[in-house]
Amino acid sequence: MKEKRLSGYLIALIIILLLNFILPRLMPGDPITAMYGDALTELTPELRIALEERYGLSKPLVGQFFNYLSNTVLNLDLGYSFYYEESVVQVVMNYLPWTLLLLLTSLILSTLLGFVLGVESGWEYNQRKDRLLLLILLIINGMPGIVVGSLLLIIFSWQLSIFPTGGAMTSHASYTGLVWLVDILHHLALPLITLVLTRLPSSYLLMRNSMFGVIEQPFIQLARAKGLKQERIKYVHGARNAMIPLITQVGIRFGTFLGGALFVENIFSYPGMGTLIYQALLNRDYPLLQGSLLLLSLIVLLVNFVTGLVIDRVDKGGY
Amino acid sequence: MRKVGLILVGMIVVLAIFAPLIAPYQPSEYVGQSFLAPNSSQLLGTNDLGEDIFSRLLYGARTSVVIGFSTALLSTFLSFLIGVTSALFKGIYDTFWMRLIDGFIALPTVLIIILIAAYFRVSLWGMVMVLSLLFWQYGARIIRNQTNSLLKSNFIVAVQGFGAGKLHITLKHLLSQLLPLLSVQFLLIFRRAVFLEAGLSFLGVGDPSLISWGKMIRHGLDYIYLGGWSWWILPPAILLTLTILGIVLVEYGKDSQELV
Repeated sequence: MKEKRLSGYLIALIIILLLNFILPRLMPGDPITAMYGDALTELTPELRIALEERYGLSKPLVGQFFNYLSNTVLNLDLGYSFYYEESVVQVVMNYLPWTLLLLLTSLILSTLLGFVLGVESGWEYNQRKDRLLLLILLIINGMPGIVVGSLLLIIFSWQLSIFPTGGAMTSHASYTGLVWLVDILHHLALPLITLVLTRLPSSYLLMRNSMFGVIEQPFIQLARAKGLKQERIKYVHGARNAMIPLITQVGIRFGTFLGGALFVENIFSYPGMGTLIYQALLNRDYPLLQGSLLLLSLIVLLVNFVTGLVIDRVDKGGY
Repeated sequence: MRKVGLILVGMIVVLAIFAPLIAPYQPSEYVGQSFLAPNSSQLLGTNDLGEDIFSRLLYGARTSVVIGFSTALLSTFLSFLIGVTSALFKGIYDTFWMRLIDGFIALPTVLIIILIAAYFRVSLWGMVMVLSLLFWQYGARIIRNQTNSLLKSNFIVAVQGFGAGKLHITLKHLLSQLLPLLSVQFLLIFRRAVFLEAGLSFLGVGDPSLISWGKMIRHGLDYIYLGGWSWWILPPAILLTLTILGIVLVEYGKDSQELV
């Protein structure tokens, strides 16, 4: 791991933790009032004391910060949601898997599709097929996720009734085995297509440019001179060498994907973190909101960090 | 292609500027029954609060254009300021900013904005500030690197030889050389800001009284079962797409590689 990148993650981590710590304390009154707001009137004095203890409010600010650190980072105690009457971690665990399912499937699909389209386009750089593909993908690039998603919802769920209008699985139906899987995929389809479409242009453009850079290289000319088949040169010799920037981007794009997923989930009432955050905003459920955002931020940092490590390993080995 | 983009963006800007003249009603005025279908006096019908959707559509252009333009201006200015001074002063000052940029680049932007907006009722200008503070870093690094290589070029060395100061070099020579880079940066941020504003309003983040296309789409979806999507959801969706597509085409015409 390059030392520079490591310090970047450390600084990001510090910024995130500081923001989470400071924001409730910048509000009028004490952080408990800022975080729990209306729910406070229902608090018994014992609970209030327990909360004050938890935040270490009697200590000076620096002490409070270390208190906060040990609570959140070491014990993974993100607070208590009065709306759900459960700990934040428990609530999040019901929603996070759906977001991860949506994220991972869309990340894989959009990368694969972007790879193939980018290879085809870059191979015939500036010819008719390339220009047509480029135009189509630029137009898709001009459409924000909320527009693509809304249109798909209107057409396929409301007009044609092919896909469900919300949820992640049919409620009150105890499907098993294959039927269960099909039901889940049926609900996943539209959010997934939306996210794949909106994130496709970036991987396509990256692959197209990278491919264009590779086809001018001598080893491609050599492969042509050897009389190898076109498709073989394109994918085995060309694409394999051009895909490194695309792979490098996958980890970095995880954060962008997550942001996109939060919006898309809301269109389809998909019960993931985006929907949870939206409801927490509506209900002014600050512990839940803050806990969810902190957890997601840490996941993004961790994913970026790990992909960084993997890429360094690959870079050292192969090139 | 670039012309098409310029026309699209120009059209939206005209709508935004002349919104009060074109709009038949005040955007937050009760003009009739709720959920009216399009008719002669309410071209796109009314929403759940009995407000004229067509007027709100026009005022929505204002929000997008003002947030996009101001964020692009402020954050490009920050990129320029930090990028050029880092290259000029070097040393610990440079290192400080470059490390901070590494940190900012690793931040999940959307999550941070939601967090801040949840505590402060972020107004239109608050949104511009928050977005600018999260968007300057990429540009600053690019401009710093470009300035570094410019500083090594012959004509800058010559000008320095004549005793030109840092401020003079920056304003008289660097600025004009960096202008193409700055304009690419400006367009990129413009697009991302319009895009994010719509998404955040859609999520219900920010000032509830702000009229925004993202929020209109959200409300339209909330009442989608009433069947009014073609005048409630489609118009803001189309205008939002045309705005972003317009900027993409202008960028593409400038042959920018930064389409991601």
